[in-house]
Amino acid sequence: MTQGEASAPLDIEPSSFNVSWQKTMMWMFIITDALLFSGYLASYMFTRLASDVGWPDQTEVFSMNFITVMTFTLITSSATMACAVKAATDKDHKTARKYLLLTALIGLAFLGMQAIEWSHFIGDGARLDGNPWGVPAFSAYFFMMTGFHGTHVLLGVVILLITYLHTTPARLDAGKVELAGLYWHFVDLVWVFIFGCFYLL
Amino acid sequence: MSNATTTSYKSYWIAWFVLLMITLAMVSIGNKPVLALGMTVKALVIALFFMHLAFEKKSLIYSVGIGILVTTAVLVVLLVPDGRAM
Repeated sequence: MTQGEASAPLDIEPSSFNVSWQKTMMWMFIITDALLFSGYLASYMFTRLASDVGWPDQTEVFSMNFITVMTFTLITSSATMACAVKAATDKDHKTARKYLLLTALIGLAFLGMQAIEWSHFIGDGARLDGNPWGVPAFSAYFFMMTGFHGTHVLLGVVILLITYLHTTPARLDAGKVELAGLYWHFVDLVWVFIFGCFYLL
Repeated sequence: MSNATTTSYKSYWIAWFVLLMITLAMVSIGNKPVLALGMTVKALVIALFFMHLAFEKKSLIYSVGIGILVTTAVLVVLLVPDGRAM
């Protein structure tokens, strides 16, 4: 490679997947992050399986209506994010920025609800090393899994706000909105499995 | 950058509605087959439509799809020997 080639922008040629390198690497990150969450979930399932004492009944511990509303909130934010990407691709910058901000706000609402849920759970006596419902691993896994997911949501909100602030109605890079969108949808995807395996099973 | 020209705002809100309905079914019925099917379909709707995977080049679909499908399969299979009887 000559020096001239080295200074060329990285996205001048698409990757072999026919998408930009940025998007290729975002997908790489998403797969590895999905494997990380799968490790947590699989470990959770094996712990449940190996537990001598019966696993606590989640419907007695959590308000399932509240958790369902949280799930609806996250799904809705995913839909508004998809609309933001669609608008950005159509070069409708004003609409794209509106949806970006809306998505970040709905994400914040989700985090607020998670804070309420944690407060209740801790108030009821749940700790990292034990809880009033029996198996200590139950609350330990709760804090680890929802905490790790919540951190992802928080980072997603920060990424969305940065993307929003770095754009103006006149200047908006659809690729950047798309990358933020991929990450945001992934956070929603992870919640599907946490919701199914931790709250409903 | 994006070649997803076949989608519309309406299609996203249809996907949104489908996801809500599956969620409701999972909450109200909640047995293992419904949970397994619900999680798989929800993951597919999000990946294929929201994340535009369905409109990408086949090599990307396979690379990502195989990874996600195997992961999903492992998690779904782990539902079967679960300690608590449903």
